[in-house]
Amino acid sequence: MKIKIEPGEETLIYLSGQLDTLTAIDFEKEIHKILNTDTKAVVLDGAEWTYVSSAGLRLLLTLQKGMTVKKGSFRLRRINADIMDIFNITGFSSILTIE
Amino acid sequence: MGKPKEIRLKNELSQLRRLSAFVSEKSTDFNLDQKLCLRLNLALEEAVTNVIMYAYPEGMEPKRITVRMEKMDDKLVITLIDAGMAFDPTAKEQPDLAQPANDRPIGGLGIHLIREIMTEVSYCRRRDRNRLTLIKDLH
Repeated sequence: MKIKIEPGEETLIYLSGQLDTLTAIDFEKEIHKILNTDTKAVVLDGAEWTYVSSAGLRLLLTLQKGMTVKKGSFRLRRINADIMDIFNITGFSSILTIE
Repeated sequence: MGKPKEIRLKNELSQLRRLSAFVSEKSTDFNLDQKLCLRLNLALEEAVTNVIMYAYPEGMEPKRITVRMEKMDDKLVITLIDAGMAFDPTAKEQPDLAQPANDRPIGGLGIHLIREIMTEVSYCRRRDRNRLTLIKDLH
């Protein structure tokens, strides 16, 4: 998995590959870094993101909750059909903002 | 001689890579489509991760986990056997999926994903082993 972060007023996260139990460890570090900045908006671009397991879902929830506490926003865009499938069966499609 | 239908994994997270390679290989053998292969990979990652993280409390020597994948008529039967402490994942309550993000507990999703993906999930404890059976109807 690759994680690319573009900081700014709106922080962009580009994920590519698999967000699973093993790669979640790296993503967690990035999320805590982002939550420690004063960014008000986070956008996750999933154009090249192919797989998510519950370890990854947990982190999306952490990011969502963290941004709510900061009174900011978290949006996801360009999510592929396989990942949407997982969001749908876990109810994540209704708690995340997916464009 | 047929190809091996099972894999034995060490109780280490890095073994998830071997697991995923095994699932892909068996999916090809059984002519399963890409979408199902991905879902099976997810169900197994969840089940095996649970064993690796929680089956052996400190002081208990971890043993290998066996994952077996077989096709019987129009069913796919996956069996996971571990020698950890007795734990029945099917006894866990369903998470409340309608809860808003702020009220959602972080975690508890693994077993839910397994249940959604598979047709049948059953557990038994036999000869000091946990045996989790996951069945998927293929028709």
